[in-house]
Amino acid sequence: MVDRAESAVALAGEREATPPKLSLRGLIKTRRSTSGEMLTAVDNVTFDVHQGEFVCLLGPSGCGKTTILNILAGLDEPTSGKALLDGRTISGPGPDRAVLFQEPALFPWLSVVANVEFALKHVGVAPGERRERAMGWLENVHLTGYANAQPHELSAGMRQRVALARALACDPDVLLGDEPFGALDAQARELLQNEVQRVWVESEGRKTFVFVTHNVREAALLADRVLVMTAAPGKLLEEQRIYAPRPRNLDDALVSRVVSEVHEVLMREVGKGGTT
Amino acid sequence: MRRVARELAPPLAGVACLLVLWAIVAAPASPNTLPSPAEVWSAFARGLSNGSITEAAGKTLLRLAFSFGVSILIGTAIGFGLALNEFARRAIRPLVVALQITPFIAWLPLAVVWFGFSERAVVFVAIVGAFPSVTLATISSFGQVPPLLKRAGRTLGAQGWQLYRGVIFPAALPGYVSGLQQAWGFAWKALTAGELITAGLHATGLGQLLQRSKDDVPMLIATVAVIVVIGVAVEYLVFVPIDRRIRSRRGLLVGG
Amino acid sequence: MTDEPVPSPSTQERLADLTDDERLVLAKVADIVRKIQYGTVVLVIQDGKVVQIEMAEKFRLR
Repeated sequence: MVDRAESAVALAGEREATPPKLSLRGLIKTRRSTSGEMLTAVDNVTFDVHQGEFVCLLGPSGCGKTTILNILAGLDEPTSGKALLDGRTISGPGPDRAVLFQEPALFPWLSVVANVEFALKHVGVAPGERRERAMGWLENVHLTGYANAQPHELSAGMRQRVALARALACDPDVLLGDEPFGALDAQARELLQNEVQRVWVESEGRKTFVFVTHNVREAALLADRVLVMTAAPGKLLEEQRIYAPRPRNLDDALVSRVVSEVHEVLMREVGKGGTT
Repeated sequence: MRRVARELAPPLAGVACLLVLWAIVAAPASPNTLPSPAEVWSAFARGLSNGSITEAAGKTLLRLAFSFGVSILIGTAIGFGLALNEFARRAIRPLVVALQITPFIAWLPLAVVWFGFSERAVVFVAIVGAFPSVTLATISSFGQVPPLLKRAGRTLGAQGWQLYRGVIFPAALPGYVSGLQQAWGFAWKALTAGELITAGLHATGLGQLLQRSKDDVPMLIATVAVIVVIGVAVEYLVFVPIDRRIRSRRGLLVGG
Repeated sequence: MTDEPVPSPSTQERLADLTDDERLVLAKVADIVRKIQYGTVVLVIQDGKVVQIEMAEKFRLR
């Protein structure tokens, strides 16, 4: 008998003994709306992410999860509270925290492989090695055949895979995802979810993934920890820790159970008057 | 090769129809009002052999290259500066727009006051006519760089100058080249018109040739034809291929 | 004739009846139940044996 629960719990315990990779303390973010009033996007959020974890931030639209992700990425700053990476305040974006955006954000003037080389260039890989390594990353996402194509020639799903290859080429400690599969059709989404799962498993605890999503099943499928947020102003509502092996399937008993519980919680939240 | 032929065929057919029509209309008219295509052609051949047309064309093109070049430099420098600084942009951009809207001809009398009936006056008008397009295109092309691409560039480690070189400039290129294309058109028109008006003893551009050929109608039309052909040639042999290449790479080509 | 139901075996008797393997599973489940406040435990059974134990733990944060 394989006690995944026990081994997963032990693993989680080990991870938590280390200092957190990412840390939010009392994070508050407010902004001024077009009509001039102060809106609170994120209201006093505190949580840690340890290295090797896969965390999903889940919540209805407008709950501030994308704001949190932007702050972790260094693209935005807290109004008050702390956002820390390895114990130090996050001061800006960088290849140590690669980001997968909802739109693939490939550079249209570069070919597929040149897009990946762009990432390699900015992490200091020597010019002679870039092509080979870039092809390696493309192979990882099964797209070597399209290396010399231009991004506009690829489907949305393929472009997102290239974006994934490009993000991983930076060899980031942290991969951040801002609803990266939200714009894809069901098949492309499933394909990419599996790719991401595989990549994370293969990183063997060296990489930390934090994804934002409003898709409950995706969160239950991918994450060790699902942080559920309320509607705006966003606060943390509950956390689900999932001790189930990967690769996971949507029809796994545990995954299904978690999905229905979280779904129920979210429905109640949405019903409370958050904008969807 | 086939594609080039396919693309050239309709315009050539159009031109051919025009020539036929022209010949028909010109037949009963006197050579001094509406010469036939054949008469214009022989005037053209004369102009080529005695060098007047080639010399004039050469001079004009030289001035054009100079004024266009200067327009690009000034226009881009100002445009870049305004793109970077919001206050400067809000202060100065309206002035540039005003300049672009004003017909360049309006500047000619002033140019003559400042520079006399000289080459410098003509070049000045051409530059004033052309650089606003470059400036405005520079500003707008920078402004239209998708913020998502800038964010992506930054998360991949490109900052400051690297971000400009790696992301912002390439993203702004299509809009910028469109601006250059427009500026070229303005420079060309301003230059030939300026030359016409400032025709003088030492002046030898195509515009001046027009002025000198007032009494030689076939030569007049031949010169006009040369001006038209040069304009079209630069447009279709230089700008259109460049623009097309830039856009097709980015998947911006409409209709392919 | 009495209507008394047949007395079901007591918990103790049932426990005594278990194989070692079965006791292990129960012990692990009890462990989990002791540790967590809210959650789900899943026993995956194949060929009549428990092959996997999975668990999800829920924390209420507000």
